[in-house]
Amino acid sequence: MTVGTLPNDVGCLPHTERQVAPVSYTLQCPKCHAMMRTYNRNGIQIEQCDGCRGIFLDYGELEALTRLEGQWSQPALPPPPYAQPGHYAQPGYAQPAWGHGGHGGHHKHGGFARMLFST
Amino acid sequence: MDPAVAVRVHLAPAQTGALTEPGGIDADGIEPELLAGMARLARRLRPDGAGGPLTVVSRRDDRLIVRCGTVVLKAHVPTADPAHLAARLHFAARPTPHPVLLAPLELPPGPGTYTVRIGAHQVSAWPAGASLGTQDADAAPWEQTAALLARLHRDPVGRPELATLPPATVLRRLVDRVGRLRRHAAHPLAAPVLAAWATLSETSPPSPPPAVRPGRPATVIHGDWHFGQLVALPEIGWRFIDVDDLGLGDPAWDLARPAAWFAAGLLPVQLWARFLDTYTESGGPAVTDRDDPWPALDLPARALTVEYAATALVDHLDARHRDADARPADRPDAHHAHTGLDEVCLAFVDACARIAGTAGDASQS
Repeated sequence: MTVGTLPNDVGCLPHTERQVAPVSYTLQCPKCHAMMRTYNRNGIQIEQCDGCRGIFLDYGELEALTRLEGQWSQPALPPPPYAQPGHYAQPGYAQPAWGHGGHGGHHKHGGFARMLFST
Repeated sequence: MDPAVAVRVHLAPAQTGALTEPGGIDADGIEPELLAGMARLARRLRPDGAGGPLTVVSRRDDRLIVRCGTVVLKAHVPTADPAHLAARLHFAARPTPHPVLLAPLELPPGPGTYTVRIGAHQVSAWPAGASLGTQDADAAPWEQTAALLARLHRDPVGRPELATLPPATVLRRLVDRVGRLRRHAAHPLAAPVLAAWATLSETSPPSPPPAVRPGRPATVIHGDWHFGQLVALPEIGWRFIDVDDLGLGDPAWDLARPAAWFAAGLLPVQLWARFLDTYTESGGPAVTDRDDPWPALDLPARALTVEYAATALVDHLDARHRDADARPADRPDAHHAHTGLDEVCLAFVDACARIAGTAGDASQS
């Protein structure tokens, strides 16, 4: 189907020149009958008419583009909470706000062993 | 777990060698009068001749520990307050059904005498036990020490103790090391440590947190607990030694070192869990909410983290400056600022950066 006329740059999706380089001429525009170029924008194939700049989207591509745009416009997701193995994932074994966040290495040689036994 | 079983395991000859090997630590520079006086005291305590020659076990900060056969003698720092030391030794010596502390030996003229003066030092005497060393890191008795700490913290504080015991000494090195670190304030690793130090109090300039904290329980605490403060005695089991810092304080201070090790990423969560679980299951009062120990432990752990980082950095930077003074052409540039610092020190400096970065969070008390 043809979804009206969109600006050349779809939404605010980031892309590179390499990604928008035309890959082939395969379709004729159903509106003005000029040739359409196929572009790859962020992994999604779209066809754009050289004449009227209309864009042809295959089934599911509009949803895919909307989803992608939503990801980029939302703030970054917080990192997943630190998961500790087995029953140690209980709250009591959590780190303080300023904690290391890792599993904790066991530095048998040198420093850590000395630290266990000295002031 | 039966402590006596652990004692037999840990009394392997290889592990007691350091204590019995004559001349293990250089005795040069120790006042001959002090050594001679300690040898005389050992002979009076063990007139059967079981003493043998004196062996220097440890010397640091103007205090000296020697062993003579089955007796260990400690010459306390000359600055030790006699009344405070006497109260601490009496507390360790008092009869109790479930002892935690190694009891000092009574000294002439006894009874109730636990120190004699030799020159500038007060000297106390103790039964010799087997201590732990770095070779025991994997087999460190986490459960036993947690149970002992809980028992110490649950010890009812009676009128005599309240009247005589001083506040515990916690963070003995902190103010000194931070002061020395200020002389290296331009070093990139000093900034996060000094910034973390500033989070420890709301005063300006910052001050170290007190042993007894408002709104927190106050019990008898060891004050300087680590695994080097444990000895094992045959037929007796594990006991804490070194009561020089013992006194009244927030019991969370005795959990501060493991908490700091865990928060720095140095202590595996499995060991932390064994320690914390045993402590709380033994009724230790430092942590009342088992699922969220950090409101209790946060400030002590932050303070110990700063003390660890400042101590290691100052040792390293002072040594580097001495080297640089000796060889001006070979001064390391900023690019090599981290050279020679071990991973433990860097882990504490990183923790200081995170402390400074999260200062003001609601989780910090």
